[in-house]
Amino acid sequence: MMQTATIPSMNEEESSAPPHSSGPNGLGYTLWRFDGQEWQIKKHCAAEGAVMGPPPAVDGRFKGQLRATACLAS
Amino acid sequence: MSTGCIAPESCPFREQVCNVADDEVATCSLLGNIIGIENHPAMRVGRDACDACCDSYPPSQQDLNPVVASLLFELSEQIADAGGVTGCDRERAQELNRWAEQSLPAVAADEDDCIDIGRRSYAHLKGISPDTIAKLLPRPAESNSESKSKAETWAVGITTAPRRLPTLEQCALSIIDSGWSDPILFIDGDVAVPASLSRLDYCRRQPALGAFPNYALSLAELFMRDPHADAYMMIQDDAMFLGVPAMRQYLQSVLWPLNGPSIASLYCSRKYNQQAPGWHKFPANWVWGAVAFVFSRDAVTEFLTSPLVHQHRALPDDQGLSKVDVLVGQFATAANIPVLFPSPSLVQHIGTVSTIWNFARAVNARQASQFLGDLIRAH
Repeated sequence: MMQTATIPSMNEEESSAPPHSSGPNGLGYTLWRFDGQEWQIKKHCAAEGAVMGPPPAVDGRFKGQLRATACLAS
Repeated sequence: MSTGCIAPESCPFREQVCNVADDEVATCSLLGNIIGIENHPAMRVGRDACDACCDSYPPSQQDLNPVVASLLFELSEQIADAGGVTGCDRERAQELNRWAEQSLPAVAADEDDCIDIGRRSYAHLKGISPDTIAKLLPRPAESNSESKSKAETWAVGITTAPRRLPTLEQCALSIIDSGWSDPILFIDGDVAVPASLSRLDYCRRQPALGAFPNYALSLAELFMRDPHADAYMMIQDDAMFLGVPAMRQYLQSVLWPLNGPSIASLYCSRKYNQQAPGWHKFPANWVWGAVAFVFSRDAVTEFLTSPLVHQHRALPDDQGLSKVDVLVGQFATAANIPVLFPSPSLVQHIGTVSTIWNFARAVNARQASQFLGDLIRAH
């Protein structure tokens, strides 16, 4: 038998919409600012029922760089 | 105008370069052009920012890469906090600040939004064999059965639409190098066909129709041109194949693993990564990505006559112009047609500036975080 995939639950109607601003699942995003050594929270815009995800794991390249990460379902 | 540069020294927007302490600093005139001012302390940027900008895709006044978005966010915030400056009032600064923020894609925590994956080369993989692919992406056991139909004859189409940063040439050449020598280009609107692809057959829709109508008509045309193919492959112009002949040989040893109509996505979004490498049957409505679908012949005929296709196109407010992936997923579920996909992905999604969404880059769930080309390189 062909193996059946396991996938996380998601909003199937909207998930192919752009991931920006609202996050890939419409859960919001957190904006991080690199201070030259680590990422600091600049802004947090989580949708209802969502929580902040982990901070960026990849170092920034310059002081003042911003990176948005997607929020996660709580 | 975009930079198109790959080193800060060739950036046309880099002015007044000088050394401050141990750092090389320059004025970014692209920021000035966007804001409408000539000088501001926040327009002075370090060499490290310029290096990061050159590693990303070229920014322009119309769309920003994450580096320029970061710099514009800071500059516009300072101007707004100061109540505006000559050439850019507070309201304009706030508007630009929102745009800069929107231009930062929401990525996964382990993802670097500054990297332009479309620049990666896999030329060194040319000599790999189908079995090299199979070591990382095992064939389904069912594909060894003699009773299943084989995907030996193919009809291949590439849908394309205007992009500021075209990916058509890279996409098409990777498909040709992967063993499909004659894909048909289905061009929606004003797309300049690169000279390297001028020998390919094409169909241009003018005026442009939109992504979904172009997709449905193109699949129908593939079938009408070649009603007896074993596999109908529809590729969007921001797909990147492995670019090795072994890819087609491998796929022909895999498809079709099940009896009856089937659809295979050669692309696997980060969202669909599986713990066990191999081919999997999708358990719900497929959503993430119409980057590269292969339809069996029976699946094509069912798709072309499905009421869902017609209903989707007729959705109000032009909703029926997009969401090819969602519609294919809904169709497959309704028709009880299995959607098969590989994990890791056989195809990468390289679009930096989407044809459909103003801000949709191929990041996060819109990208394959496990692309076979990267895994073979690391193996």
